[in-house]
Amino acid sequence: MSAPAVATGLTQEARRVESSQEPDGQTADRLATLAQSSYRTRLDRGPTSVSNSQNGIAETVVARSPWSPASQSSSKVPEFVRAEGIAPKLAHTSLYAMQEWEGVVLDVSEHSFSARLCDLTNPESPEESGEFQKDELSERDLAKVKPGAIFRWVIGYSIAASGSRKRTSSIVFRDLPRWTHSDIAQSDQQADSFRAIFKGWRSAEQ
Amino acid sequence: MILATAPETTSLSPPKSDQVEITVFGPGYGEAVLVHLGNNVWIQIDSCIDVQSRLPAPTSYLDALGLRPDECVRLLVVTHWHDDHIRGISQSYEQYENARLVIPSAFAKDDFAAFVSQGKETMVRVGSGLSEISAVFRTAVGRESRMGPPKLAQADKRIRVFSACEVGGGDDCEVWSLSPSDKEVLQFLKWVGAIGPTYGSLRTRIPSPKKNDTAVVILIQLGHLSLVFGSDLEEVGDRHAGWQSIVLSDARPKQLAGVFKVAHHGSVNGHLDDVWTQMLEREPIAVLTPFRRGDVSLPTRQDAERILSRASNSFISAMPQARVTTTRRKPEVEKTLRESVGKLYLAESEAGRVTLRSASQREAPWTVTTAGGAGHLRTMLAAR
Repeated sequence: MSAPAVATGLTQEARRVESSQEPDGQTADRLATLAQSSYRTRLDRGPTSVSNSQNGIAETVVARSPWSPASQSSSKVPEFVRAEGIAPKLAHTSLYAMQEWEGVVLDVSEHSFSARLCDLTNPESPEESGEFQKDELSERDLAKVKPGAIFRWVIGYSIAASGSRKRTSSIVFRDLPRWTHSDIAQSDQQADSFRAIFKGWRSAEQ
Repeated sequence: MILATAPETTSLSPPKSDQVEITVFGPGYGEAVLVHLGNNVWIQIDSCIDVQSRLPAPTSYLDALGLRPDECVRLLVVTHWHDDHIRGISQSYEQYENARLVIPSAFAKDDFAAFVSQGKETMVRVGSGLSEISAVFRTAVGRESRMGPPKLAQADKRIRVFSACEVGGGDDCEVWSLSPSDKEVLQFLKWVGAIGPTYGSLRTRIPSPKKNDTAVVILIQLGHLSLVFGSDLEEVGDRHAGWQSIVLSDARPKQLAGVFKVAHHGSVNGHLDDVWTQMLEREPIAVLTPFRRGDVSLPTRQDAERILSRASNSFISAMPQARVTTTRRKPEVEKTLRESVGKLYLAESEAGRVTLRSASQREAPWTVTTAGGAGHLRTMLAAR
């Protein structure tokens, strides 16, 4: 049996965090953050999506359903989950999305940013706008807050194995794919055709 | 001179053939202007969306007047590339088969060609103005053989003359662009060049430029009437750019204007005293649109007081403080939303509008009607 999905998704960074010399509390917090961002990613991709740096999602990889009690009994439990006191917290949380938006950052001020929002749950709804506090973002996302940045905002429930539910609101910034040589060539080609058109427009003015 | 002002109560009717009409639309995020020159000849400047119909507000208005937008709009001006001025403009232009397009001269430069070609925005749902501009260009190309190429607006340029015969009056009507200056065009192209893609760089939604470098100010002269539409032009303290460059120009028509669409939503950075003293009549009629985004709300109280001190007859197309919250969602979602963000607002609300009508004869009074949250600027002050 292959390693469970959460491990697959978080292996590299989680191992790095786990093997670091941080105090236990910090390690646990960072692992928990990684796990949560992994679950958020699932919402973006669906349960069967795979790692792909080209598809526009900055957070990486969850390839199958979350950690299940059955998989815990496997002999190939991922190493970071074995860390005492962390595994149950990570393994049993799942997230149910009630409402999702895609947002684009318009303006950024010292403590907040404004955004325009598209309702993904009800795509026919008109666009909305809102003001978000920066202190609700992770350090990693904070660095991405600039005009034009795209994010996904999910309101939902995190559900523990015990069945207890907790309302959550999470924002994950997306990285659109990077420009490739082929993209730039395609863009240049289109620009050339525009240039030819513009030349005609300019000469008509003279 | 104003004959009467009143909220719109009766059903809409089109202006008479010899009436000049100016209608300013502004839902709080967006701005557009329609001008009736006479004889069912209309000009549209910029575009905004009406949240109710999800259609371009000026086009819906013409429909509501019982007119044929495809026939009656003869000039469509894109003053600059900012989301709040061009939403829906490609849709309108597609429909306006008789309209000649006017764009800032900077839009026909080679650097802008590279810029407009990088907008692969299908991967995000919230598009930027780039897709609107691309769509407008495609329509312009398809229509070029019949309508001619777009007119390129720049400082001190007469971009179109409608004969007296066309507008059904005793005088020709001249449409001028008073900006952008050469310096502004260069500044804009420099900005455009700086945000071009490089190999390995991340894509983003193209942000709007911070400065309104290409904003096209339009002057319409119709006999004794002179009208100035300030777009979003700012004052930058430079005799070769912004409002100073227009005021100091020797080549622009010097007739003082009686109606002014106040620049940049009445903000102080769109203000220059010399505009009011050297380009406008004493006590002109001023119309402006609000701007609401995040914690920015224009005009401010100080802006309103400053404008009213120069034009006691000033009107605003919607109250800047009035924002429409979105419809309620599931109670659990609403509760979390309140705890995390507070409130969400409609990005665009109902398009309020201010309509001025006057007979084209000299000294004829203006009648002002307001609809959908528009009103006198003093009302805004009283409400704050």
